[in-house]
Amino acid sequence: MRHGIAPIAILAILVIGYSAVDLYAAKDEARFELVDRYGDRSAMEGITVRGTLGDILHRSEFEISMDGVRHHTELFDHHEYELSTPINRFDYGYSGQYWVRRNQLGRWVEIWKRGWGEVTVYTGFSVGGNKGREYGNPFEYGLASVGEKDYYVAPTSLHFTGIAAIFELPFGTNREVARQLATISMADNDAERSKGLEILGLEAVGDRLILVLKEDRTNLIIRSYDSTNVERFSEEVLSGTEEYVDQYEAIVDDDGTLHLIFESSANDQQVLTILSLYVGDDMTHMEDARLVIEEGHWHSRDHQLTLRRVDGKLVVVMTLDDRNEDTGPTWFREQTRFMIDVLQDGEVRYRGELLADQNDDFIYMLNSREGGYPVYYRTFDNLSIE
Amino acid sequence: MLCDAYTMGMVQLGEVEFVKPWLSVYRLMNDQFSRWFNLNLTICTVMLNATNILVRMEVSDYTSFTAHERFEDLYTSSGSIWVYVVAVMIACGFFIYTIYSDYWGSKAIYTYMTLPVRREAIYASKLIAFMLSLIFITAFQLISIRVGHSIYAHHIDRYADGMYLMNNGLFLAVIRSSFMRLILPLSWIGFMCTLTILLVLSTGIYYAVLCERADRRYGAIVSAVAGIALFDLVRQVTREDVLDISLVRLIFVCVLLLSLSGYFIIHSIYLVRRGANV
Repeated sequence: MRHGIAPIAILAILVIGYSAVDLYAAKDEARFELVDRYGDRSAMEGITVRGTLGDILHRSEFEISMDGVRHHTELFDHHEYELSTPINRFDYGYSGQYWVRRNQLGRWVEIWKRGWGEVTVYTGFSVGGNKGREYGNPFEYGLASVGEKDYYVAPTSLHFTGIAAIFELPFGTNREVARQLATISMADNDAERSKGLEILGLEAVGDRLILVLKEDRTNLIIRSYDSTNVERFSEEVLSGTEEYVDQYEAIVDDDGTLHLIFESSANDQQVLTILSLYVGDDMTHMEDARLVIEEGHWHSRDHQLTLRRVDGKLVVVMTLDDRNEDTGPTWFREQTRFMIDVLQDGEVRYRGELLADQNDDFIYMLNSREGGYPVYYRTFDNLSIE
Repeated sequence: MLCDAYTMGMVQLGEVEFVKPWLSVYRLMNDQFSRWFNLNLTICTVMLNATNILVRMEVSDYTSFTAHERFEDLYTSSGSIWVYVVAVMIACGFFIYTIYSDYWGSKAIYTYMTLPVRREAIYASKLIAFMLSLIFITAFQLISIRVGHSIYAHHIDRYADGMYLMNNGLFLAVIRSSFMRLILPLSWIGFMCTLTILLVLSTGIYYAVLCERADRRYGAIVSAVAGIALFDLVRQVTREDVLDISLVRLIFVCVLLLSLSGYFIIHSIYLVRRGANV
């Protein structure tokens, strides 16, 4: 065999080379398609939604506009991919940066900040009152950051009858005790008659601290403090609606708009009430929007949600669980949907859905009774609206 | 035939006969590979058929009411990976046999030693023939993966409107399966690891045999170190949870193994020049 090696070598290299090139090129063959579910797509004019869909081995960046979807896929070697945490308050790890723990007695909380250590905040306790029921929302709701400074207020219930305070946390200083900035007296609280103030949480917009309070279980009070001088504050009172539940989500636009999202339900459908406030020197209540999720369910623990005001329109982008379908015994089946809603004057003008391959990763679950997640599955992440 | 291979590469230059180095290596490689050819063809044919049968058996139970494994998981559970492992082990065994057989029976090693070619050429030809055989087997394994995926896709596409078929499934299988990542890396670090494994496996086996022939006992220790490092590298690359793979460790092991591979080549050539049979 005088030249046997040459054709064999060429054949082997051709097969391997073709496989490598062909499969590498296949990275962009994933499906990304925008379909209209309600209204006219022209409402998307001037709006671009960006995001990623991927697992730890590859990630497709996509860009949705009125003309359709463009996408590009990158492959990763080893742990270059880091998932950002969805807005998430019901977990111990508050975005992975903070960790809040209530002391057993309920009189102080311990707050740990990654890379900074731990501080203890004495939140005060009421005289009389119903011990153990003084706290309202989860403790993480009381945490807010302005630049490198961190602030905390303990979320309280109507059972709390002491003096609540906003504290500046002493991370990075020699002080051991958190400095008290502003106080709110709750002495008149009466849980029996549902009268008084409750603290739902604290948010930060620019250098302003936003205290979210509830009055007499119905009215919502939004108080904006200047974090450098808490004597100055402005206040907005929104009169009662049952949709203002205690556990809300907060999203801050880069133009200084605070969106508070309250979740409720009506006619077996999930309703998100979105309250938008412009926070400047004075606070302006811009609009209330009501978004009815006709199919599926959104949960802050599992799903993504981002929103932004663009040209007077409110754009809401979220992932949902498709729970309306009959799933039979496969209750653990995951079917994620990706929805875009464009609202104007509080009403939905356009609703679109991005069809992608994310649910393919769960084919094993469709008929499996064992449950459990596959090792690699794609999730939506890094959502932004422009 | 052996001598014929060398006379082809000889040129007359006055009274002295010598062989162009590259041509002599090429001739020797062809000669070596001719010993491999039938075996390679047999291995690949058996491998292709065996994986097809295994995948077909595994997927044949699937109906619209069964839980569907992804292709990469089905490929693993069907045992097709072991077919490849056995094929590689047979190739390694045959490589060892080809080296030893030169010392046994006809003692072809003496013929090689008297050939008017540099002894590095003999070393290189054997090594390249083995590496090419491994590459050839791997190429066939890639074909068998494609064929296996076609069988899988064709079967599950027939019912339930193809809802159990993943879009772009072959690409996803190749990046997600640790085994397929190993034999067809689509990233530079993966390529480096695979290349390192190929180099160390071939130079290491050859070196270990040469050391045994030359009665250099320390060679066994170095080979054992390389073996442990190689095992660690393969284990790291094929880890299921890629988040646990340390990039620094991978690069460290690769550099260590490549250095060892360099040492194996240099010392093997030294041993071959010295005769390696004394």
